Amino acid sequence: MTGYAIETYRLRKVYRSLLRRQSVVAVDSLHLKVPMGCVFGFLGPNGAGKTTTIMMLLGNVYPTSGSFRIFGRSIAEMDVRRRIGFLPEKFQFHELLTAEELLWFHGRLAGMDRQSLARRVPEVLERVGLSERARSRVREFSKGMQQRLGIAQAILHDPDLIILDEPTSALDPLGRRDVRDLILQLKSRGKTVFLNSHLLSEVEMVCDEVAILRAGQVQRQGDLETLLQVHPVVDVELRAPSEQVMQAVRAVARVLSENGTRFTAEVQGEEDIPALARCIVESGGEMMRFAPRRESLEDLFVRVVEEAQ
Amino acid sequence: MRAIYLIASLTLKETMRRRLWVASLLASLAVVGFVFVAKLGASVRAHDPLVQSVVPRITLILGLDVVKFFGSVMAMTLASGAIALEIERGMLYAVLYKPVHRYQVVLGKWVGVLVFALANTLFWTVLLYVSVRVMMGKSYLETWRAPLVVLLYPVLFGTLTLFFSTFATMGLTVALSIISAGVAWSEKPMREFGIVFDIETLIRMANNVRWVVPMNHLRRWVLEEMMVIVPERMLASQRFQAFENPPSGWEIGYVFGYIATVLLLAVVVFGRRDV
Repeated sequence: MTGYAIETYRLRKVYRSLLRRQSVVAVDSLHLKVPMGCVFGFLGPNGAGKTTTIMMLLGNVYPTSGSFRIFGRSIAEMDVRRRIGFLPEKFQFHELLTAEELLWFHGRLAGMDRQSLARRVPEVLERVGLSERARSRVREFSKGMQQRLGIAQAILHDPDLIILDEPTSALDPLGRRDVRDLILQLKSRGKTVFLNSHLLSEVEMVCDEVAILRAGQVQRQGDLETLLQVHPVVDVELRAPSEQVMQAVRAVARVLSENGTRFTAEVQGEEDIPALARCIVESGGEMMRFAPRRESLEDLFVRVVEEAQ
Repeated sequence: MRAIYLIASLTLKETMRRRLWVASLLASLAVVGFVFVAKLGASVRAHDPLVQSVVPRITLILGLDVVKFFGSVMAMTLASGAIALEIERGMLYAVLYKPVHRYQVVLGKWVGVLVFALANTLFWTVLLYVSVRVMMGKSYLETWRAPLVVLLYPVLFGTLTLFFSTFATMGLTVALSIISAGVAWSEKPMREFGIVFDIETLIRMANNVRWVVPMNHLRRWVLEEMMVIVPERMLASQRFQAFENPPSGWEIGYVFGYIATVLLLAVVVFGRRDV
């Protein structure tokens, strides 16, 4: 048994047009290792190949080359599929069924028996805040409620690996907090959560590891704490920034963003923070604010994606 | 088997809730209406024994054509969205990652679509026989095998449409289904024109077309089962003898082989495609 819930080896997907005149490389030589029991953030700009990767992992899309294992085994094995829960990004449920009927259908399909379902369906509906709408038809649900139902469907059979593709895209802040709590709860029970989300602040709050994908390739992967400790950033506000000051800043740091009197700069290490402050003062800058902080996931994401361009 | 049963049940449940039974009800009215209109026509010459003898038989023969049409359209309508639409709407994503083989999805859809279409076709057929009995006072129970052959129409067109649905978009599936039905229907007029105007190419085309969608084999098979009630004058006509020869055992076998092959193709194509 491997220690990884997901392992990919040189996974590649090329979409070809009908006459094979044009081809698009969606995923290219993807190496990914997702340890068991962790919350893994799978990040990347639009079109980076995240959804294609997820679809390959679930066996919905066939890789052009390369291979992958789920819990060390092939996705073609039904025992492996039983251990997976999935919330698709773009989906629609059978809208004429009630929430309860839909969960019964998916539960039965996942191999659950009637007794387990009779206990589990009200439980998960309660967990996602839909217990009062159990007998309502899905067509009457808002997008956010459908997303909650999608999450209920994904965790219904108590899977070991839960793949969530943009789970909070249609949710309000309270809904997002619920999903965050749910993910942490799943983690505490030893489940592996593979999370694809553009809401980086949320990913940062729940993920242990992340991989940043661009143009179908992994640009960075690793423990979130370690990745974010590499480059501290400093938020600076000046009374009147001049070109002379900014040139001096650029000599010792990397300016991530500039906005009027404010800028955010990234330094190589914590030992460079005093040097940055010194160079601003020495070049005539008057500091109103100087706030060193750890690099955020968003900073890291922007830096990695820009570096890869 | 459980997955096939579950998917078939879901398809049926969705069909019922989409109120397709309303369409079924309208088709039922059309069947009854058809018999009623035929009865009205016959009542104009109520004292002509020939008319009184021929009209019920013709009504039943043509009524079965109406049932064939409705059954085929019903099956095509249901099958066209069965897979293509569910892929387009993302419904299958939450199904396909489950411990379910793709062939089970195809077979589940096939069973679900056909159970509904066949139940309706059977109902309309019974309604037709009952209507002829009640309105015209004739029952032709000796033709009981013909309705069974009629049931193969929705099976043929439903299977073919489901196959299209495994690789095409919903719109293209509908288009391909209509084209295939048109191709199947064109065989008879092509052959008739070919023979009447002595155009060898048309006859050759008709000969090829009947293998592309073997509807005409079924049509002649139904007629063969109705032979006992086909009016003598019709039987004696040159036209009838030229076009309505009964299908051979090989042609009947071809129909079943064709349906099985198309279903197999649907399973293979859906099993190999990206969703």
